[in-house]
Amino acid sequence: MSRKSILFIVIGAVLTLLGFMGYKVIRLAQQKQAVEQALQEVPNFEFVTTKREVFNQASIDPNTPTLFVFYNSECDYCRHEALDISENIEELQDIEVLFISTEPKAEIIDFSEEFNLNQQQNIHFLHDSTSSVYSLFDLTSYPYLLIYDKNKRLLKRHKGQLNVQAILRVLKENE
Amino acid sequence: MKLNFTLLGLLLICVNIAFTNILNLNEVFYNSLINTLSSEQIEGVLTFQKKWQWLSYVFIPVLLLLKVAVIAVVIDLGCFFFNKDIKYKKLFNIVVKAEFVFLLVIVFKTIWFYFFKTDYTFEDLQYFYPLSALSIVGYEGIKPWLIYPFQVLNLFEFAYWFILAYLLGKELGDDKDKSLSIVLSSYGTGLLIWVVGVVFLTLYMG
Repeated sequence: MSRKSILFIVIGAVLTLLGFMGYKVIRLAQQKQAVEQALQEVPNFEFVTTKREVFNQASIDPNTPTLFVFYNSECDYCRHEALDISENIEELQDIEVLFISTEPKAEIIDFSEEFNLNQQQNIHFLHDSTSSVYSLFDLTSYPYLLIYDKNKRLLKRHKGQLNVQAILRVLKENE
Repeated sequence: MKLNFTLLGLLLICVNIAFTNILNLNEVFYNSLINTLSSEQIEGVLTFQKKWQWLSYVFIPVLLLLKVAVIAVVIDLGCFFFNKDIKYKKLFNIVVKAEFVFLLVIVFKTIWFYFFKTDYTFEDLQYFYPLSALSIVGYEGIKPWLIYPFQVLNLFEFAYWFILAYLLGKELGDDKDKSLSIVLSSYGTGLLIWVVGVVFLTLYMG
């Protein structure tokens, strides 16, 4: 094969690669932008509580801020997040906390009991059976937190653990 | 060749140690974790970090070797298409020599935060790249996936291209325009693919 032929093949391969990756980058950026826009307000969702009741956007307490915690019980940082919330439960009395997982209900119940969060009026453990969280909330890693004020306006999106003091600071700064 | 590479590796380790100590990187890192982790977790992270910090210094020459080897291969490919015959060993040496320019990045960064922007966060240290497009627009106002391309667009990178071209031209006995063409078409293309790849991964994982 001549040098010229190899050159054409290489140029073709590079252009194909760049075109494909460029297209993917643009598509992903547009998707992220769309989700970011959609999350500015609480999106329409439908999950099930541990008592098998439907919990959707309308079920959210309209008078308090809402904290979404997407978790997996095997994730160490998620366990620390739950522990921190459990230890500072008094400070979160005026906030509705929604723990959401795609795991089986039995594991969700075990997790809520392990951290003594199952008896709290303002804390709900929700099961997402359809795995809609990934596309609806742009869930890519655990834990993942969304903080909404009482007007259901997004205050913060946080990937990773965030302690209660930092959560309260976000709410206070936006009062 | 070995001497240049060893010298560059050692200097890189030294400037990194100086950067960590002069700017109190451990303390700044601790402060960045306060908002997220519990005090026991932070203690655990710092103990782990102290125990394994030496490993990060060992990785510096390993990553440098990998980077230089890949860039030399890419430029070798460029030389092949431009009908220029040059030994890989010589290209490797040229790349090592040009890499010295990136030592200045850490030096400039240390000077900037030590003398000018003394009130800094871990994110500032992480994202700041001297004389780059990012230092003009700032990292706070842009999307996370744009940070890396804006960092790559910097004067040290341009200087690196010209040094590569100069040393390559000297070795080939060619004029500077020809060697710059070789560098831009080979290393430039490689860098573009790399940047697009990093952007893709940032978007995909983020």
